Amino acid sequence: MKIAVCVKQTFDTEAKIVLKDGKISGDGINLIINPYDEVAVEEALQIKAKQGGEVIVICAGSDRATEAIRQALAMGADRGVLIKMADGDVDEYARAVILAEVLKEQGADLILCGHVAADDGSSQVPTRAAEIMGIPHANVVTKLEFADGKAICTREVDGGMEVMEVALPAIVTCQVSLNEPRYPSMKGIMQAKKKPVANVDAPAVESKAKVVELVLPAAKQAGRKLEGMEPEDAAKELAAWLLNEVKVEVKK
Amino acid sequence: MFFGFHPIEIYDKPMRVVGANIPYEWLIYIIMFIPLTLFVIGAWKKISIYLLAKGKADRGDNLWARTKSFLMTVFVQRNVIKKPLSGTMHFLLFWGFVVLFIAAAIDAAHYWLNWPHVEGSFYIGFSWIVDVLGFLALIGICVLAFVRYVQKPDRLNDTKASDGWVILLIFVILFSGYVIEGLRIAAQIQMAPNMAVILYERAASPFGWLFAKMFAGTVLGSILLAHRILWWVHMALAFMFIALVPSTKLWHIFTSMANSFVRDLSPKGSSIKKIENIEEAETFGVENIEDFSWKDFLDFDACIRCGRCQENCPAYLTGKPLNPKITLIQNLRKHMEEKAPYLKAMVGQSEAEAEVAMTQDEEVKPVMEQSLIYDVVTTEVIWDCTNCRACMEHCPMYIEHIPKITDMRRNLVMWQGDMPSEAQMTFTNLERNYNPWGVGWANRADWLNERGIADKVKIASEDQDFDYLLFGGCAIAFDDRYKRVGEAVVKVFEQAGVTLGYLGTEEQHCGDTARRLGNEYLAQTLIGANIEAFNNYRVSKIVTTCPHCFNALKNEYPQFEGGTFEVYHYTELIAKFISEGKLKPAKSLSGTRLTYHDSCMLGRHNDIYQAPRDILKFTGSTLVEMERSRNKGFCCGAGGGRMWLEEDAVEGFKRINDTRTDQALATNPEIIITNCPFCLTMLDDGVKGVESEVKVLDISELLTQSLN
Repeated sequence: MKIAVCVKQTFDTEAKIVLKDGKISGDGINLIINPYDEVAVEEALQIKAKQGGEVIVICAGSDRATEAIRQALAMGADRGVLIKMADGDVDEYARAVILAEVLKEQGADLILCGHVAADDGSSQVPTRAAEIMGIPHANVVTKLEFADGKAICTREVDGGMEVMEVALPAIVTCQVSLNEPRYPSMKGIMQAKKKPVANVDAPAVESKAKVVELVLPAAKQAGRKLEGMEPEDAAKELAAWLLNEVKVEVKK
Repeated sequence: MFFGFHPIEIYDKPMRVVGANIPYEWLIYIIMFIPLTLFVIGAWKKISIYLLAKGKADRGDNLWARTKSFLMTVFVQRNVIKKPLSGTMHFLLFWGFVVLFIAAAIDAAHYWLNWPHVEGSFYIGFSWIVDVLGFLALIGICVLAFVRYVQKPDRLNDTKASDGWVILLIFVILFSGYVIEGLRIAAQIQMAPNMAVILYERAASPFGWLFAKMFAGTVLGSILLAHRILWWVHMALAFMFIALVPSTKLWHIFTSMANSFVRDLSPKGSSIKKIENIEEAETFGVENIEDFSWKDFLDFDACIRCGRCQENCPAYLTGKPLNPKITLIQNLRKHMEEKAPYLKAMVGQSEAEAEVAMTQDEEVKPVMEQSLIYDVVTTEVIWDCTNCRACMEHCPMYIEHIPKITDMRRNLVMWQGDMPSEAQMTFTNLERNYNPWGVGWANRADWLNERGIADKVKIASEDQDFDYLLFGGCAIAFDDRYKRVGEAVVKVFEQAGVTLGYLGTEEQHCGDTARRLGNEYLAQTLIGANIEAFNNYRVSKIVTTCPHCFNALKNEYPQFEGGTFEVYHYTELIAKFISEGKLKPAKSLSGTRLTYHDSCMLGRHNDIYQAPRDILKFTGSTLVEMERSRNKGFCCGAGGGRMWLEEDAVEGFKRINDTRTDQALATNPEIIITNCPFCLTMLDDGVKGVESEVKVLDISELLTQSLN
């Protein structure tokens, strides 16, 4: 089976986010493969181990995104495609169009993605790409099997599970419980250096939406202890704090 | 002379003629070349196995220290003797054999080189030494048999038939020697015109004399006949002994000599060696037995199965598959021996040719298809090790267990990509955020503000005017409990008037966890970053809180370029401040009953046992030692990267930390004192697990109680 895995390069989930000139400063921030996409890579490798085939890693971004591709190759993917574009200046629509074009060219039987990116969390691109390509998709999949040339996908729905069958080719987005991604060995890393990574220029697509402003969440306040007070005074103090600082609305 | 027959006679001066009364005695000096030849062949067979090892071990330096080690180990028996009963007995057995060997060599020299007979008072003195020491050796072998078969300590839990045969052989050789001597003296007594002319033998051979008394009433002819027969039996057994040395446990006579000479002379805490040019390495760690070095091969053969490792191993004592004696070293030895013939056959063949030849041979297959890591040792054994170093500390043979475990972990992690998922997570955390918890690296210095001590520590990038650089380690920055320890240490240094610097967010994990879990590549990256930071700020003196950082910085960093610094653990410096009067007790904690847990990294890896105890003494508290303390201290279970791996209790046993907690609680303390963040966590968990009220504190926290 020919499997394409779309990965996004995101900030390390523990990175300290600092805004500079209205944008997220990249200084001292480590970039990683979106953890959900890592699960997709692992799933592709496991399918390949069982059925044979090829695993292609596709990533859109600047030259730095090659690191993400190399990491997936070190895990065991066969080759990579870097869609060259500047970081973060296109919307989900434009990304989906670009991705759909590249995916069509690759002609994979199965396309795996993470179901959400850890940075912007928009969860749109794979679904949009499937629509554009006119192929089925299954989201937030926790178990993936194959029968009669179809993918049997178990997916999380509100309060339960849904099992759906989709004809291939299809786009399947992965939930973290699907598997446990492997740690690339040195052998993998060395082999990855010799694997091909094709550079593709992204076609020009106009975005339909744009980010107007980025704001950091308010810093977490240290907790306050009411100590050494009579219960009566403590209650008064608490009430005053709730009214004046938390500004609790009191309905009379 | 050569073919002569010498009857037993009465000599006119104190002496004896070896071989007297033995017709064809000269044959012995010809026959002796048979066992000697067999010995040489056997020894070469062993040595040729060691030559099959492909790994590197450079042990040609420092010849004087090596010679000293050889002399102390072999002739003083300094390691063996540490076990009082069996050690002393082995000491006697050893020296008995040495003098008997010298006596036999003098006999042979008399025969072949025409050396004169030993005569007169020199004869009496020399004979006395041989006689007495030989008899002590006889006692030694009997007691050792008693220990093995009657006392049966658990450490000797793999007694084999061959152990018994060797003991019996030694016993019979020694015992028959005294009977022969007794018969000879008995004959001389009967021949002597008066007792006075033979009385010198009572001084020269006191034990032979005792045996002679037993034959006092026997007819001279019978004595002479028995003497002849037993003499040949004795000789045959002695020759058998020589011939058997290379193929039995007796080979340890030579492996111990070799190992005492080629042992690792570097500091105890630096047993794990750097992989040079790791960027260009083509394989990692040890995948096949032949990937080990000749020193490792020698180690396999040097193991005499005394079990001193086993009786101190926390994994074995909690029922895990790892037993340093059996499931590690002995399994490796067996595999080495089984695979050696095929490896020898492969020499000179290309790998492909050899592979074809091997797979066609039905008999070879089972050995050649055995995987060292998965079948011979097993991954459970490899991951069980806590790197506590108890095995290496107590091994009288200088066998290096930890590097072997590490070599196999290196292969599993860097080559097979096969490791527990928790290890994977730990590596990812270390890679991305330079700490095993995986908390964002940019928050590394936040604990200073959290504990309100930011004004007491100078950040190196801003101010380099400090006495010591505090290498806080990861726990101080990311473990909420241990941040309080960090605060205590900083405050104690402030009271002593010693200023501290800190790398802050430029500090990274010291490398210990990554390295001991087998990820040398990651470890080298982290070590490199820290060394660069130290050198950027021209740091020369470093103090650490975590003993893992301490060992890494002190003993492992010097393996890297520019990585040599003056490194202290805070307990060493605080003990020094106390002795210099820089710290004054404000409050005595007298009446506080506590026990102290030696961390493996401070203890066995660095021999720091006294400084922490000096600090405890300073506080005025009462220290009650656990049964397993100092170099016999029992690991908390978190070393060797195991802090980050799950540990399941084996049925019938508790987990390592719970086992140690029980040992600590058995001293009935109010407080359990530790010096390591991992030990603190493990013992705290253990105490909470049994819902005990006993507190677990770091030694610095206790100290602040007495300073305030």
